[in-house]
Amino acid sequence: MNAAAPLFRDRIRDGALYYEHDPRVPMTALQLVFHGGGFQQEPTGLMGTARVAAKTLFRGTPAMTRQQILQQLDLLGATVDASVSETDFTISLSCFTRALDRVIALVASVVENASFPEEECALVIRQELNSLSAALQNPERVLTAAHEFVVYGAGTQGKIGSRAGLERLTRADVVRYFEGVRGAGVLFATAISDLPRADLERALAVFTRGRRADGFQLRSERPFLDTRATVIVDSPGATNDRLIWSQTGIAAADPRRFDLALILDALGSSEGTIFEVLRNKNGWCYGAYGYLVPATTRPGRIAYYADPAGENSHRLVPELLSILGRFPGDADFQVRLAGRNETFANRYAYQLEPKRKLTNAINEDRYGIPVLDREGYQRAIGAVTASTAAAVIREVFAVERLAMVYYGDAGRLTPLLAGLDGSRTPTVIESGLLIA
Amino acid sequence: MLASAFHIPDMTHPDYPPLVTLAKILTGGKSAVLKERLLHTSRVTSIMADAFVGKDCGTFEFFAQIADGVEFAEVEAVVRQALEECARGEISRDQLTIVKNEIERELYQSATNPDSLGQKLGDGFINTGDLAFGVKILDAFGRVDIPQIGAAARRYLLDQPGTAIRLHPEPA
Repeated sequence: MNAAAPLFRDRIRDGALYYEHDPRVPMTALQLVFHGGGFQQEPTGLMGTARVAAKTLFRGTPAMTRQQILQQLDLLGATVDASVSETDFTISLSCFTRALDRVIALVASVVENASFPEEECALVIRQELNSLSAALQNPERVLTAAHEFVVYGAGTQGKIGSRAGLERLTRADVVRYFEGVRGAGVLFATAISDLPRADLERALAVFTRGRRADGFQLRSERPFLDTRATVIVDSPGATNDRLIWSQTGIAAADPRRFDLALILDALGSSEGTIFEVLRNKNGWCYGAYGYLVPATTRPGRIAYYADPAGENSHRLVPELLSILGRFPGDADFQVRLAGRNETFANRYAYQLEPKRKLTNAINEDRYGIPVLDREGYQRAIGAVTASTAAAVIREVFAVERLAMVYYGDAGRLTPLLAGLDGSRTPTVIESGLLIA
Repeated sequence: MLASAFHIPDMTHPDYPPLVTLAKILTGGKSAVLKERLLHTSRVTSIMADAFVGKDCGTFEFFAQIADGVEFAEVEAVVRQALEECARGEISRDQLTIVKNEIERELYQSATNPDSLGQKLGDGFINTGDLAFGVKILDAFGRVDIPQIGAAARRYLLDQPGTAIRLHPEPA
């Protein structure tokens, strides 16, 4: 593990409930987050264990078969899923509030007694293997994974998955993994419900009372590399090329985040300079965007995407590079930037949506991002000016530090890139590497 | 990928609620017939059936992403068998309860999501001229019975040829 020390010490406490009251409909949505139970805990060589554990969770207990569990949940009007991220193993449920007690009892029983048969585990592994093959047919998925693979250091993280890891996986590995999840050092919950908070705390006690917390303990996230690698995932004969370029951004609570958000909106949104020049004026591509890979405990990334038709790549690639070098002084960009304050000020309403409020509260405790009230938000947006933005561009944007990842015809792209920048030597890889 | 489509009438037709119910019996909940027989047995990686309608008429559509090593014909046979069972009225009360749950959940989700609410109201207005159609039709869904579902399966899906598209992946 080459994880660096985090920029912010996570302060989510065991047993915490993040709650939003929503009286509009008689529904309850809950998430149980086993914090530290994510795929960062997968044993070496067994990539895919966490996802398989999530998918087998509702596939049996000593008393119920998979069919019985799923039918019972459907009859209660509940949807229940388990998923994994780098740090967390999450069980999400949504149901009619009138059935909440019965749904929670069923889910608690599954979490406590998960005991899927061997053949269910084999079926899930087969599904996962199938989904790896299907993912290679999706160019956007391949490109995104290749980009992550490169910026995480070309190890395992970022890959779509691992065929070899899945083929090695046994039921015992999955059971052992879920034992670690169940005993995660921190278990917290989120809830959006028409019920009062106290009722939910009572209902959720079944998961927290007397719980062991000596399983998986949260580790630092893997940092992004500050790499300027150039990588082509070869797709011989592809009619379109696709690219993601990215560079290191800023920390989650960095006060320059408002400037950065407005700059990237003016540069890279569908009303931004990049889209205007590459698609609207020249018609070289369908999509052309700049966006932020959000900062967490690690700094985020500033990223760019385009999907030129193969015959236009030799025009689009140098022009995108040129825009990224010249945009700070570009009149079109300055006009677009000047209009962003009002646009962003109007977006405050999104912060009031219950899911958004929950996310903001969690992000404050996980990443130290302060939750702003309307006045604080408007002040922060209003403080972005042409001169503060220019300073942030000088400090943060660095076209020479871009990692460049392409998915397309290497025969077409290699000479194009060699002619573009002599200091970059493209590495060509096969898409199969992303599922090896 | 397997995609198949069958002609169905518009939203105001009395067969529309049974067709929507049929789609949900087939793939609506996690325990739905085709999910149980195809998805949970790893013969497909995804499956979906739905009744899509416009102002004039609509289509009943199936989409299935076929797993490696599984034949299209095998999946089509499972789908056809499930349709024949529905046509014979082999539908349980539990299945109908699950469909009603799904419809109630969708209504609540629409009510709290502006995009979804706009879609529901807009679809009703564009396709029927009645902004409240999506709410008014809930009663009709509640009255759908097993013989109506069976008749709709027979008339629109089993007794019609339909159109199927089989997409083969590019060789690796």
